[in-house]
Amino acid sequence: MNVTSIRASLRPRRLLGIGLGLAGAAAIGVMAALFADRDPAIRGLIFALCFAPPFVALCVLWLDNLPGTDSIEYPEQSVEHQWMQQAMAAAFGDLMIAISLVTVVLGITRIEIEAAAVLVALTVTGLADVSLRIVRVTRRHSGDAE
Amino acid sequence: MNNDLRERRAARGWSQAEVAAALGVSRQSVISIEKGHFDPSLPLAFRIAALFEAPLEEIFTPSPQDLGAEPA
Repeated sequence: MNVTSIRASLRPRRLLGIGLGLAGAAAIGVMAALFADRDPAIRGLIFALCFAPPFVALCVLWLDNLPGTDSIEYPEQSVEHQWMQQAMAAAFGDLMIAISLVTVVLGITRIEIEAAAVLVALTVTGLADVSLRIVRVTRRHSGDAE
Repeated sequence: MNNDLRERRAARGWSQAEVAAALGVSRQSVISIEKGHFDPSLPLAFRIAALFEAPLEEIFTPSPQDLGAEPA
């Protein structure tokens, strides 16, 4: 099987993944709207829009890597897996440093911050860290191909 | 770790995509192995050896750093 036919066989699953991801994001939006005190439509829309990109990405990745398909047989032995592991390990180290510094600063200054805000900030920092590391290593090796 | 994967692949007229499909890994993995940027796992190295019908130690040879020698 050549690369073109592999790409063609992936297309329906990717469309299904996009559909599933959008449906999941819509479900989150509906739940957010149900729990809203005011402006349920706007709240639901914002939640749905925020959740759509990660849900679509997760569903596409999940369907692409289902066993018994034309996906890579040993994804855990591919270089991309190593890149992801290294990026996540490095980002975890960065998060530990960030958490420690924030804890020290908050402990000294006695500033009180809402726990949800701290968790969101740490989550965004961790995800952005992993993403940037993956993009960097991918771009570094993009010129290797023949 | 050094390897002569590129030469063996070229000798057989195989593309990187074909080798990647036969090994069950991504094409980028084959590219990175050929460039020496990625050391394959032992199971993958054995599959490479089986694919090219050659002993593992003929395809992969340790660099001086792998053997613990000081880099020149």
